[in-house]
Formats: sequence, C-alpha cells, structure tokens
Amino acid sequence: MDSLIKSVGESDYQPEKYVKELSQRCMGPEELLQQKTNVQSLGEQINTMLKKNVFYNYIQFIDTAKEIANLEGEMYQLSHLLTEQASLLNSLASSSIVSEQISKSGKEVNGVQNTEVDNVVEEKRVHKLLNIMERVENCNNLVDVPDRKCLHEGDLLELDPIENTPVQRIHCYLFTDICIVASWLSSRRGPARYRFQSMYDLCNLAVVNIKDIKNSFKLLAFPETRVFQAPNTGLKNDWLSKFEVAKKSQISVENKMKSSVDHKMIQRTDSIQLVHNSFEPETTEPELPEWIIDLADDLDVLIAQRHFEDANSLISKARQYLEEHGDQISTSIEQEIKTKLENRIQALTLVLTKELQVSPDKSHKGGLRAARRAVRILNQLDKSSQACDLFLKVCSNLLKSQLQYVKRDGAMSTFVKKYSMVFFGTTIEITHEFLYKAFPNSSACSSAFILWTIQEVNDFMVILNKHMFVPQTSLSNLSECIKVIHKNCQELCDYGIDLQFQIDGQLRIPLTKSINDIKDKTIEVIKIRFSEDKWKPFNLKTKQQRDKIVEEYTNYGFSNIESYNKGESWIMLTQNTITFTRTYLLLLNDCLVLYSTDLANVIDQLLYEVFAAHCNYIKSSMKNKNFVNDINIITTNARFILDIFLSHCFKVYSASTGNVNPQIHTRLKSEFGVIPTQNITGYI
Amino acid sequence: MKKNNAQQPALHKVIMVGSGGVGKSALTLQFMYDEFVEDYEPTKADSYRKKVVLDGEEVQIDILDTAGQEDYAAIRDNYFRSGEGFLCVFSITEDDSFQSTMEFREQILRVKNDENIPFLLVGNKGDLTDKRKVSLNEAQSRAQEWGVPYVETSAKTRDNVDKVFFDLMREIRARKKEDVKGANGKGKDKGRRKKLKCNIL
Ligand SMILES: Nc1nc2c(ncn2[C@@H]2O[C@H](COP(=O)(O)OP(=O)(O)OP(=O)(O)O)[C@@H](O)[C@H]2O)c(=O)[nH]1
Ligand SMILES: [Mg+2]
Repeated sequence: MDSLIKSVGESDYQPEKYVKELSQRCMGPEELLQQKTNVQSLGEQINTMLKKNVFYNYIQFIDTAKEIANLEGEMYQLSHLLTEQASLLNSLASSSIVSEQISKSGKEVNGVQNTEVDNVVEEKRVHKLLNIMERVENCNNLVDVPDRKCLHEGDLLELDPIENTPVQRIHCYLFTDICIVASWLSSRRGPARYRFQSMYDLCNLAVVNIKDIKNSFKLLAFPETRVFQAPNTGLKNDWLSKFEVAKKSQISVENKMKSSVDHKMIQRTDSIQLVHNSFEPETTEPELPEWIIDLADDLDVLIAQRHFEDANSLISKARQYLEEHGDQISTSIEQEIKTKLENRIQALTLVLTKELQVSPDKSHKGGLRAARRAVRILNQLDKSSQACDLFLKVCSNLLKSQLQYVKRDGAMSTFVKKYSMVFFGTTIEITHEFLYKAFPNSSACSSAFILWTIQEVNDFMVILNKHMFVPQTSLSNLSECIKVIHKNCQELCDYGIDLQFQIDGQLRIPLTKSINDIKDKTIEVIKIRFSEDKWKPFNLKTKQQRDKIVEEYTNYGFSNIESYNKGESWIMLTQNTITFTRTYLLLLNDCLVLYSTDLANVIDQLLYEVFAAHCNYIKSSMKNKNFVNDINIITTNARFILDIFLSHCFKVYSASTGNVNPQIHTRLKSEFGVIPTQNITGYI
Repeated sequence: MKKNNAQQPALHKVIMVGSGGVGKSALTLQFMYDEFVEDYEPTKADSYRKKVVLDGEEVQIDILDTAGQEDYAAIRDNYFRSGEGFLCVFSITEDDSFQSTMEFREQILRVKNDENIPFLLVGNKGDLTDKRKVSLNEAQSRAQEWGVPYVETSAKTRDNVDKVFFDLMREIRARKKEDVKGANGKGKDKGRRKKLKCNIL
C-alpha cells in the first residue's frame, strides 16, 4: 500500500506503465483483484483528503476575506485621519485667501515637513487661541487666521471718553492682527469668564497715551473712541509698547507684501477710493465694474434672503474676476475686495452650517433631502469636510429618531427584528443619499462615512446585545434574531458597505457566554433525566401516538424506526432517548445557524460535551447492578444513539458547515463506539 | 462724578501734525501747562484734554499730539481719522520740515475726505530768527494756495501759542454749526464741500 502511494505520488508516474508492471508481477486473478481494491481504497482516501483540503482552503479563504474587510475599514480610518490632518493644515495655512503669501509659504513648509520645534510652538499657539475662545463667550473663531498669536492680555477699566468716569471692567486681548475687548461675566458659567464685546482690526486702530488721566490710554477705532485705565503705570506702559510692537510688525509684514506698490498705497482704509481727488498723484487705475463694487452688499442681501445658490455663483464669479484681473487692480484694492469677499464666504458658510446643525427642537421631517441644498453649496465652496461632518451628524440624528419609534415592550425577538429592520433600512437610505447624492466621488468623505457606519453599527449592536443576551433567552431565540440581523446586513452589503465583521465581532463574546451557559444547563438536565430513568420501553398508550413518533423521526430523516416498535403502543427506545435526541437535534439546528469560524470551537465543544454527557450516563447505567436485567434495552438504545443518531447528526453538521469530516464526530465515535453492544453479560 | 450730559461743554478734537522735532509737543505743553521743555523726547501719541473759554463759551479741547518721526508715517491714518481740526507744524529753521507739510496735508485730506477741514499752517520756533530757513513769504504763499491761515509761533516765548489753538477751535466750531445747518436744511451742501466719491465695498 505504501509503495502504491509512493509510486502514484511520483512526478513521472505513468498509469499505463504502472498497470503493465502490475499485471506482469501479479500471479493469478486473486492478486490482481487485491491490487484493484487497493487502488480503489486509495482513490477513496485521496478523495476525502481532497475534500478536506478544499474545505480548509475554503475556510481560510473566508477568514482572509474577513480580515481584508477589516483591514479595509482600518485603511479608511487611516485615510480619514490623514485627510482631516491635511484639511487642518490647509485651513491653518490658507484659511484666508487674503494671505496668499503666507499660505504659499505654508504649503512649502508643508512639503518640507515642519521641524519638531515648529510643531511645538505651533501647537502652543493654537492651544492658547482655543483657550481664549473658550474663556470668551461668543468669541469669533480665532484660529482661522494663520500665524495669529496672542501678544498680550489683561484686565482694564473702561472710562467714559467724555467724562472720564468708570464704565465697566473689561478684559482685553491683543493679537498680532486684532484686538478683542470682552466684558466680565457677572455669573460664571462653564469655562467662559468674559463675554465678547468688540473686535478691532489692528490696521484700523490707533493707540494714544492719555497724558492727563492716570494710567490711561485711548483706542481710536474710528468713529469709536474707547478709554481704558490700567491698574498701574507699568501695566499701561506694557500695553502701549505691546500695541506699538504689534502695529509695527504688522506694517512691516504689509510692506513686505506690497513692496512693489507705491508707498502711499500702503495705508489701509475702510473704503476703496475709486475716483481720485486732485491730491492723489496716481490716476491711472482702471474702473472696477459696477458689480464688483456692489459685491459685498449684494452678497449680504442674497445671504439674508437665503438665495444661497445665487450668492455662491456670485462668489465664484468674483473669484474668477480677481484671478483674471488681479494684476490690473492695485494690490491694496485687490486685498480689500478679497478681504470683503472672504468675509462673505465665511458668513455664507456659517449660515449653511447652521442650516445643517442638529438641534433638539428641529424636526427631522425634511430629513436628508432638506440637508441636500446646504451640502451641495458647501461642497462648491470647498467646505466638503465641514459639510460631511455636519451631514453625518444629521444622519446620526435621523437614525436615532427612527430607532426611537421601535417599541421596546413585547417579545424580545420581535423587538430585535424590528430594530434591525429600521436600523438597516435607514442606513441603506442614508448610504444611498451620502454616496450617490451628497458626496459622490469624494474619497475623503467616503472614508468618513465608512467610519460613521462602523460607529453606528457598534452602537446598534450594543443596544441589541442588551436585549438579546438575558438569561432567559434560548438558543433558538438567539439564532433566529441573528439570522435576521445577518440577512438585513447582507442587504447593505449590496451598497458596498460590509458590516458583517463588525456585527460578528460584537456578538462573539456574549454569544460564547450564552452557548457555554446553555451547554451547562443542558448537561444538568441530562443528569436529572438519567437519575429518573428506569430503562423501560416507552409506552405511548395508543397506537396513534406511537405512529406519530415514528412519523416524527422519519421526518427527521431516520429510516426504519418502525423496527423499534413493540406490541400495540410500545417502542423499544426509552423516553429519555426520545427526549435527548429531540433536544440534541434542536440544539444542533440552532448551533448551525450561529456557526462561524469564530464560534466553531465553542459550538463544537457544546455539541461534543452534551453528547458525551449522555453517553457517559449510558455507560454507567450498563455498569449499574440495578439494571442488570435491562441490559438489552440499554444496548438497543445505546446502539441507536451511537450508530444511527450520531451519524445522522454529523451528516447534518457536514452538510451545513461544509466540513466533511468533523473532528468531534470522530472523537465521539472513538470514545464511545466501544460500548459493547453484544454479549453484554460478559462485560459486566 | 455726576453725569450731566446736557451741560457737557462742546468737545473740539485737535490734532498736532508735522515732522519730528518741529515743536508739536512743545506747543502743546506750553498751551496746556504754560511751560517750555528744552529736552527733546520724541512723541508716540499723547492726548490731552483741557477746559477753556472760547469767546465766552466754555468748551473742551482734546489735543492729540502725534509722532513726527518718519517710522510712524504708516500708522498715522488711524489717528488723523479722529481729528476735527489740524495744526500742521513746521520749524522755520528747517526747510525739510516745511516741505513735509505737503505730505501731511495730502494725507489729511485723503483720510478726512474733506477739502475744507479746519487746518492751520504753523511755522514754529519763531524766536530763532537768526536760524530762519523758511521765509515768511514762502510759507504764506503755500497757505494761500491751500486756502488756510498761516501763523508763526514760538513755543519758547509763548508767542501766538494760544492764538493757533483758539483760531483752530473757532474754525472747528464754525464748521460744526454749518454741519448742523446743512443737516437741518434740504440735505447736505454737496456743491460747497467737494466730497469725494466713495464706494464702500
Ligand atoms: N528755540 C525753540 N526751541 C523749540 C521750540 N519749540 C520746540 N523747541 C525745541 O525743539 C525740540 C523738539 O521739540 P518737540 O516739541 O519735542 O518736537 P516734536 O515736534 O514734538 O517732535 P516729535 O515728538 O518727535 O514729533 C525740543 O528740544 C524743544 O525744546 C521753539 O519754539 N523755540
Ligand atoms: Mg513730540
């Protein structure tokens, strides 16, 4: 036999040659026949080996696919993180189209990668700004301007500019480009200590030392004049010198930016002088078109009237105009226009994001469709990632409100089925809207979306688990629910979102525990049944009743059950055997629904231990002196269970799992197959 | 202090402009405190307030003494914007300072957007006759060209110091009265005051 395997396995094996050799060597037909059976059994052996191999390959393939699915999720996560960082860097570098130079240099820095020190300094700077935003109620966004730094802050007393009488206590912040005045909050709520009052652009601000009022200085922000008193002379001088430094460095930055432009154009004014008076030497500038002049006002009106689309197209028109005519307009005017334009873009963004913001009193009737408009315009304004974040919040909210309507009373499985249906139904709707309507062709947003679904499905499973895994839940109940969840999840798969891995992951721990609990309970019940078993044939009282059982088992797939019939209404299988086989079949059925590679071990262990427990009791009954006279019926039952029932069960098992040669089957057979089935008397 | 808004005297905002070292601060301090400071300490931006009697009416004058130094030139706009009248000072001993008055005038007109803004051309250090570089004639003809009064002062001897402040206050007061009239009448008198077309973007 070994030589046979060897020669067949050889690479230069030739069947004809081999047969020839055999026929020459073999003496007589018996030997040839023997060889034939050898070859046949080898064929069978190879066949099972092949099947096994196919099965293992298959399992491996499935596992790998799952791992890949998970890996994909992680890649999305990574990609999401990267795009978030990129957009953060971008917004730091170029949140304002005014600071083109800065953004350009920012991008260079981006490319070269900041040194660590720079990062730390930058982090500190941003942190400080965020901290201020937290302390000042209603504060503007401070981090939107790149390189903005807080230079000085402190408490001051505001005086009436005419009468010099104290007005209020204020807290003042000086930044590289602006100054913020905030009043003290009378009652402190949360981290906020001050309320935002006013913000001044440093370039429109003049600081004056008041000589004849102690420790005081003036801020001229035409037409407003504000007078502040510092606690002492030293602090006042601090303020004055900080303001001076800030103003000077700002001027030098501006000078650098406009070094090519005539010196006189440096000063920034609130208005753009389009027609030049006789004192202005330069009169060569081209007239701006009317619509550019009215741009800011028109945009304000459009935004106020909620004509967002029109506002957006006007913005892009203006952007295009600036791009094309930028070199014809003087730099300072161009900067003015850009600043105003940028302000309007921000205003529009703000209105649109407000539109998308979820608030408890907003109804969800409009749902996703209502968000479409705002999302579309935000996308056009290059604010996709902002829109995406907000849109996902809307989705979360929608999902939450839909799930709220699912009634939690009533049967567990009814709830789970409904809940799962609503969850996946809504998620499919959202997926459709997100991937096809709101953010088509945006990989960054898609990865954000995948992360969102993973988060949501995890939350969903946490709730379901709470309902499903309570002590009284039977395995049938569980398997029924999980079947439904899997089916619903499959429908989402058609949209390219595969959450099965997440769901199985969430189920693994509680299911393992449930299966183990059920195993212990079943074994306990088996023990009780054996303690009451008298090993008597089962009397079903009437023939009809017995026929019913025969029919039931025939339906299960057992042939020839009638052979156990005895007399009118008796059956040679005991009531314990009938109960056990029924229970085991049910258990097997449920287990097979739940079967997955993750759970294979636990399930196999359950199937093995329960079966083994029963067999062990049969074994000990055989040795029990009280049942000496019942040894025949014990043997009959044992044979039924080990020969007929066991192989039936693992046929079912193999058919469902694809595992043609389950280990537990072999193990049970080898452990209990030796129960003597003949000459029992001799065994005792 | 009690509030008595109704009783509050009129406030006139005067701005001292001119090159560094011409005596803006000296004039201001002489007017405010009747003292003359020999040391030169460049100014950044100082403000003073004083109650005075102008033609029998109690008024307040607010003086903003600005920096003449060239490195502050870029940030003057924001100061000028708040002024109602300007004393444009040069030193008669320094021709450069006289030439610079052109620039100051231009800048003021641009910022205030008003050709008839109350404005006095002031030739200071009149006590230093032996060092005179700018002739009276020269200065007067420039003032005439601009349509503004020219006055020579000395912060040291207090010559004409009160005069320049009071004359300017009178002009400011007159302008304010005119504005009220104009506003009460049939709208702004656009023809007289050549307002510059201004589009606010
Ligand atoms: N002889 C004489 N000296 C004067 C007169 N006015 C000012 N000075 C001197 O000129 C110098 C400069 O005077 P300031 O008043 O500080 O000059 P400023 O115009 O305020 O200069 P900045 O503050 O730099 O713009 C000081 O040493 C003064 O003593 C004057 O009328 N006659
Ligand atoms: Mg001075």
